[in-house]
Amino acid sequence: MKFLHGMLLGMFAVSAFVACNAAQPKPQKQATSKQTATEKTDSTKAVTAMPVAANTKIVVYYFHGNARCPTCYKLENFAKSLVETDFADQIRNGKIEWKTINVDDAGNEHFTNDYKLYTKSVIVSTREGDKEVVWKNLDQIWTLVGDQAQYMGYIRKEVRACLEGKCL
Amino acid sequence: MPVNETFIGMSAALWLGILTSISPCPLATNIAAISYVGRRVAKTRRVLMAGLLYTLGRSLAYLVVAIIVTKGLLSIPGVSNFLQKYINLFIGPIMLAVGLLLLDIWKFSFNGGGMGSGLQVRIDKMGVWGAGVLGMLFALALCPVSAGLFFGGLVPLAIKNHSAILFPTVYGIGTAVPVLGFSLLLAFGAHLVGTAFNKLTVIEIWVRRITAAVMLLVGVVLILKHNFGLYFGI
Repeated sequence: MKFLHGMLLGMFAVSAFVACNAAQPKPQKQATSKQTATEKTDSTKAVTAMPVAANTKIVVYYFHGNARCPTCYKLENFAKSLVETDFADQIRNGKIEWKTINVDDAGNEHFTNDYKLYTKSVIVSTREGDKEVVWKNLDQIWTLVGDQAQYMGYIRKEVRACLEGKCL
Repeated sequence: MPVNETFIGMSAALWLGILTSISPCPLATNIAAISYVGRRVAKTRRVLMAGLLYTLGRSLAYLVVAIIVTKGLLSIPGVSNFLQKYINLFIGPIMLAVGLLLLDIWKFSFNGGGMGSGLQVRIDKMGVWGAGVLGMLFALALCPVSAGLFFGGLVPLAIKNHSAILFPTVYGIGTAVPVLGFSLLLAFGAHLVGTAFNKLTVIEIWVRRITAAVMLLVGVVLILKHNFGLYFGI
């Protein structure tokens, strides 16, 4: 019993130490985005229909960090399988690409600021050549993930809209 | 805002809160909260009070965060990523400390003396207020689901309806509903059984021990998850 108490106290001390050290702000990792809530709601309805250029390509990103959760895996797996099956032709001819990115990996931190990420997210990015012309955060994923069919329908509709130059 | 729109918005906020609380992500903290809130089975009023304070604590935390982001004082990604990254690091150690205190095995010596029954009693008396603190803490320890539903669902809804106070408060109540329901059910169930068999004191002692064990277990799980990066499927 004493050993158990000692172990628990030891674990508490070590974890508290880890927590305190980790809680020290690391300037290079601090979020610098000045996006406000109002701006956020505007950014989701950012774009209107536009002509689709020949070199237009859609990149569907799933962003996550080191901390995972069951719902996060669902978000990723449902979206990935939908994109890979429903848009198989477009993937083959290079019109659509799926990318899973861990923002906690070295070199990926900039995505948090680029796309104003506040949690695991699916972002649809429209590119013309090397230039990103528009992106959209599919922020309804969290309310829809409980219903796989609805969730996949949402991803399908949004990706298709972007493919047609109507990223609304 | 018309009454009808307010009602629809409030229902949506409540639903978003319930959706947050029933996802697997906050399961560990919900179990800890249920056992903590419902542990004083012999004193029905205390259980009710603890449940109420736990709910208020959650609502208050969400309210403050909502005001901060809707007034543009801090950015959504900044607040969300900070809470997810740093508050979670302290949750496990705090659970472990609460579990140890409830077990009465924390016998550190200060200035040569034991911790003393005085401090133990004070901590026990704080129990009901502790539920409020626990509510605030658990609300702020955002997991990906709560961050997604709060910042992606609730905040835009509150902005659209010009309701930075009412909707986050209702959302907070929603997040506490399952914990509140289960803890009250458990407490009243145990109370009924205890009264029927005249064993209320014995049951309360065991409920306290079980609560301590749950807190310790949840503490260990959360430390391994957040402080050491292990994934347990929750």
